[in-house]
Amino acid sequence: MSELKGHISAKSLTKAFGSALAVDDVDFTIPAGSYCCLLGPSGCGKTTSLRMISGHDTQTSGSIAIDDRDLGTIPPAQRPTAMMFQNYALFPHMTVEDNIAFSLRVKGSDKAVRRQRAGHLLEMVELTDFAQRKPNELSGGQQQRVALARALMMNPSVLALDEPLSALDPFLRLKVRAELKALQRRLGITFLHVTHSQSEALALADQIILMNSGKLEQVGTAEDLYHRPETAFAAQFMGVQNVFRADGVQSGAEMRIFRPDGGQAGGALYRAPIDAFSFTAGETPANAGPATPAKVSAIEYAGDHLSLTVDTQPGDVGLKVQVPLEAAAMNPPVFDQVGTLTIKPESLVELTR
Amino acid sequence: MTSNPTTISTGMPPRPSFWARLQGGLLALPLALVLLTFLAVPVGIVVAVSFWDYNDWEVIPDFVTFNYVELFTSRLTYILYAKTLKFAFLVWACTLVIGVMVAYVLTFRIRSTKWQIVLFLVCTIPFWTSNIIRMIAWIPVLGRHGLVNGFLEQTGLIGSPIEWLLYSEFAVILAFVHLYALFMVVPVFNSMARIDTSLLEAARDAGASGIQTFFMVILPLCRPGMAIGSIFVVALVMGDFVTVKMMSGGQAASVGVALRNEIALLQYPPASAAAVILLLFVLAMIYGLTRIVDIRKEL
Ligand SMILES: Nc1ncnc2c1ncn2[C@@H]1O[C@H](COP(=O)(O)OP(=O)(O)O)[C@@H](O)[C@H]1O
Ligand SMILES: [Mg+2]
Repeated sequence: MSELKGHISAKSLTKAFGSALAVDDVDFTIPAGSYCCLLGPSGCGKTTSLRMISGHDTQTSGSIAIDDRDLGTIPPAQRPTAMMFQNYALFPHMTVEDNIAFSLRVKGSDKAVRRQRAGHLLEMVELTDFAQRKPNELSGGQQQRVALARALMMNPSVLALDEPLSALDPFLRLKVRAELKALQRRLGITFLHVTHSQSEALALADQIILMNSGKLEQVGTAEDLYHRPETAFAAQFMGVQNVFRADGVQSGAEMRIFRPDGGQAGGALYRAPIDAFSFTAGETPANAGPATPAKVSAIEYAGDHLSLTVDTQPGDVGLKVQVPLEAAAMNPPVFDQVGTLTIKPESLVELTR
Repeated sequence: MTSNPTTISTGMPPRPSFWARLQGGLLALPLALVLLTFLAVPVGIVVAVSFWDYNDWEVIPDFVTFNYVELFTSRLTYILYAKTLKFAFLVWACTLVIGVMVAYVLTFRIRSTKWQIVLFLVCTIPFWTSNIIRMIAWIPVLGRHGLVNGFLEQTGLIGSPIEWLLYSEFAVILAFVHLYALFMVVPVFNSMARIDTSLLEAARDAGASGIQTFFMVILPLCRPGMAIGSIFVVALVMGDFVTVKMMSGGQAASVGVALRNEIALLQYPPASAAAVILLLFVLAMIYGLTRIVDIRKEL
C-alpha cells in the first residue's frame, strides 16, 4: 500500500443558513487513510459538514485543511476531494463509461486515455460488461458502484460519501458496506462517510464523529462510543445504554429514578449499559444493589434475548432491560407486570451533560 | 456480479376487467368525439376535395389527380417551400437560442420560486393581446419614421432611415420570433426545471466549468423540451400566412400565403391539395424529429 493520504483538520467550522446554525463551531481532525463516519440524527448538519469539506458549501467561518494545505474557499475541483452524492447524481444521458470518464473529458483528455482509465475503474467495480448501459438500466447497487468509480476517477485523497448505503436494500447494504471498507484499505485514502445509522458507523469506522443539532457530541473509535459514551445524547444514540437521573444509588436501599432531560427535578445524571440491569417479578431480591419498583411496558423479541422496557414506579421513566431466553422461558414476563429493577452499582457512570 | 433482488420484474400487470375497460372507454369518449368531429372529419373532407375537379365558378366532385400533378410540376411550389423553410429555420434557430437562454435564467439564475413565477408571467404578457395587435404594434417601432429609425437618426448613427426594418423578410422573422418564442421557452423551461441540481454539483465536483456543465449536462437533458418547442414553432411558421403577409407588406410569399390566395380565388381543390401536401410535409418533419429525440420522456 502506498503512503496514506487525506488527513483532515477542521477548526471552528461554522455554517449559518440565515440565522440558523447548521454547523456550530465544530473542531475535529481525521487521520490520513482512515475510515471516518460522520454520525448523527437527520438534520444535525452532517451533509452540510461534508459539503463544506468538499467545497460545495462555503463555511461561514472557520477553516478546513487537508494534508496540511488550507483549503480556504477554493472550488471543489481544486480540492483533493471527490464527492459521492446521496442519490448518486449520475448523468442520465451518458453511458456508464462516459459517467466514469466525465472528469477526464472536462480536462480535455483524449478518448483513448479516457477509455483506458475508465476501463480500469470499471474492472475495479466489476461493471465492465455494463460500460455501454445508461444509469436507468442498472440496479441500485450497480448505480452506486458507478458513482463510486466516477468519484475515484478524480484520484481523491478524501472520498466524501453522503449516505452511500441508504438507497440499498438491507441485504445488499451489508455486502456493499464490506466492499467499501475493503476498498478504503486498499486505496489508503480517507473515506468520510455520512450516515445516520449507528450500526453502519460501528461496523465501518476507524473514527466516529458524532454530531447533534450542529454541534460535535463526541469523537472516538467505535469502541469508545459504544462502551464509553461521554454525553447523555451519545449514550442514547448508540442505543446500548440506559440514561437517567437518580439519587440514592450508592446506599443500595432506596433508589429514585428521574427522567434524564431534567424535567423532573433531582438526582445526578447517569448512564449504565443495558446488561447491567435486571428485572425481577414480584418481591425484591435480597441485597441486589440499588433497586426500584417498576412495571413492564413493552416486550420485544431480539433473537438471543427478550428486550423489555420497564417504567419505574413512581416516575414512569422507561428503561431497557435484557432478559435471557432461558430465564424468560421459566418466568415469562407479561405486560403491566410489577416487579423490581436492580442495577449493578459498579456499572453506573456519572455524566456531566 | 451483484444481482439486485429487488429489481426482478413482476411481469405484466393483470389485464383490466371488462368494467374497468368500459370505464376507460367512456372517459375517453368525449375527447374522441371532439377530435373526430373537428379534426378527422374536416381533414377527411380536405383530402376528398383535393381530388375534385374545378373551373372558374364551381367545384366538381370527381376523382382526378391533376391538382397534385400540377403542384409537383410547378417550379413555384419548390420556391415557396424553400422560402417557407428558410423562415422556419431562421425562426426556429432564433427561438431556440432565446428559449434556452430565458429558460436557463429562469431555472438556474432566479433563486426564489416567487420571482420565477413573476418573470414567467412577464414572458406571457404579449399573449394578453391578439396576434394581429402584436404585429401592428411593430409598425410604429420599425416604420420609416418609427422609434428605431428615429433613435438611430437622432444619435447620428445613420443618415437616412433604414428601409428594410419594416415590410421585409427581416420584419417577418422578427414578428415570428416575437410571437412564438414563448412556445419554445415553456417546454425548455419545463425540461430544465426537472434537472436535479445535484447533477450540476456532480459536474462541478468533477471539474467542469460553467460552460462545460451547460453544454455537457444541461443542454443534453433539455433535448426533449427543445424538440417539443421546435415542433410548435416549426408547425406554426409552416402554416402561417397572416404574419408573412402583414409584416412583409405583401412582398414576401410562403406556402401559407399561396394557399390563402387560392382560397380567396375559390380554387378549393388545388388549395386542398396544397394543404394535404403541407400537412404531410410538417408531419414528416415532426416524425423525423421524434426519431432523433425521445419526447415521450417529457410527456
Ligand atoms: N441550503 C440550505 N438552506 C437552508 N437550510 C439548510 C440548507 N441545507 C441544510 N439546511 C439546514 O441545516 C440543517 C442541517 O442540514 P444537513 O446538513 O442536511 O443535515 P443532515 O445531513 O445531518 O441530515 C438542517 O436543519 C437543514 O434544514
Ligand atoms: Mg444529509
